Amino acid sequence: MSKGEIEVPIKEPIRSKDLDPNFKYEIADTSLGKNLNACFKCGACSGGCPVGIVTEVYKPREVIGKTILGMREEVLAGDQIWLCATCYTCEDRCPQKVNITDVILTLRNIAFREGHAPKALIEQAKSMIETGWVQHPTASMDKRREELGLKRLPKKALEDLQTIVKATGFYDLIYGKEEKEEKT
Amino acid sequence: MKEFALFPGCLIPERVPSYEVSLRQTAEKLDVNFAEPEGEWTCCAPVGILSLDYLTSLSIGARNLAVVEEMGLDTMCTPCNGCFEGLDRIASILGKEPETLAKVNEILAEVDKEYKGTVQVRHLAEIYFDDVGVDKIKETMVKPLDALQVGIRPGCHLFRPIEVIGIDFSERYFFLDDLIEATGAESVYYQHRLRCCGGLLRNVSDDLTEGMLRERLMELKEAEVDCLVTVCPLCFLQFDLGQKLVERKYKEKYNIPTLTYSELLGLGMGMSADELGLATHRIKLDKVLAKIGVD
Repeated sequence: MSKGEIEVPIKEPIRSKDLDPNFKYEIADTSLGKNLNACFKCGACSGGCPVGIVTEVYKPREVIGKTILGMREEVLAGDQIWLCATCYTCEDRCPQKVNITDVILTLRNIAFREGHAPKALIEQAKSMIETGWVQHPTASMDKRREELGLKRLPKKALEDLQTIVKATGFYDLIYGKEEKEEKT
Repeated sequence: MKEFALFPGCLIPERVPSYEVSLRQTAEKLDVNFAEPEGEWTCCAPVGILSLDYLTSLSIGARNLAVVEEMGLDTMCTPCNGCFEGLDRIASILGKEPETLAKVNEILAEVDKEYKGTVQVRHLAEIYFDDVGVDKIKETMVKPLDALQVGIRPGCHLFRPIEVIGIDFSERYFFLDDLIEATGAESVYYQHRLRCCGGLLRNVSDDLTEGMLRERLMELKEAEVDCLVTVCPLCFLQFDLGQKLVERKYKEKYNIPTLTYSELLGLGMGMSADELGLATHRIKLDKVLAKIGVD
């Protein structure tokens, strides 16, 4: 500040050679991501985002903008897509009717297949596969429920659920991934 | 009234049992008939699972919907916003995309199930408003709750995504106000009452979820309500348990009691705190109960 200048952090320029021009079509071709390319980047989504109000780290327009631009690796390997609270306020307010939250869910699906997902969601999936419920039953709550005259969470259909996750390939994605991690 | 297939989910049974007790206790007086399959439900495969794998979420959800068809019913009722969002969306997608339905049924064939696409998924709050109705609720009230000023929290997924719910805009007039007023209590308008509490970011980033929750708590405190009333179990957990965590982290005091709408109904019907299982709440309800004269 010796010369009295304002300190401004400068970003690295985005180079077209680092971009994947087909990324936006990859998303737009999915069931949930179909309206992506209608976005004209007005920023109404970021303006109403309850997450973006408490942190600078997450703004929906940035995620959508990077996706349309083709910043594939940065979007999929980065943390931003996992910080959406899925409240759908942005979708409601979008003047172009872009399914912003659903685009983010689609990005998450691709990121997961490429090995990126927060531990909390993997744990949730394991709980579902192992007990039949994302919020798994505990012995203390079983006891409390009995006192309150309530039945235990059913687990009769657990085998059905396990057959389904094997048929969709989800089981291997969850547990196969873990084995790979252990090897490295 | 017709019969609904009751899908309680897992969050309510495992984390907010008083919500389940109260919705069951009050249903009879409101002539709401719930049917339940013998042990056939599984997880609804909510947004956390949908975030990882679309087809898995659709298939697990569709299996539960197929169970409703096997029961000979056409409507599932869930009191959980997470289950509602997940299953309502799945029913909506499978109702209008025959190719997706065929793909899901290929998976379901492995467990000898088929979903025909006939089930409607509704939130308990909608059934209170549309099927029971404000007049009927008023008739069942024996304990005046007029002294109570409450702030509502419908929870995001009761009215979003708008495309799935079938409304134009989510931030207009809201029927939860009418349900509150039917009990005699006053629904106090306050800033950002429809805004997300950050519940689904719990464990992904606790700093973020607590930062969002803190903003909601500040707004409620300014509104000077006696308590918060919600129909969402995740909002309930945020405001009942999460509130304590925010207080500790930020060294602030909020002390805002939280009730589910079914619990409020139970109190208005003259049920005791014990009958409704209210001792399971972490934020003490003493002040609220004293104000309406309930032991």
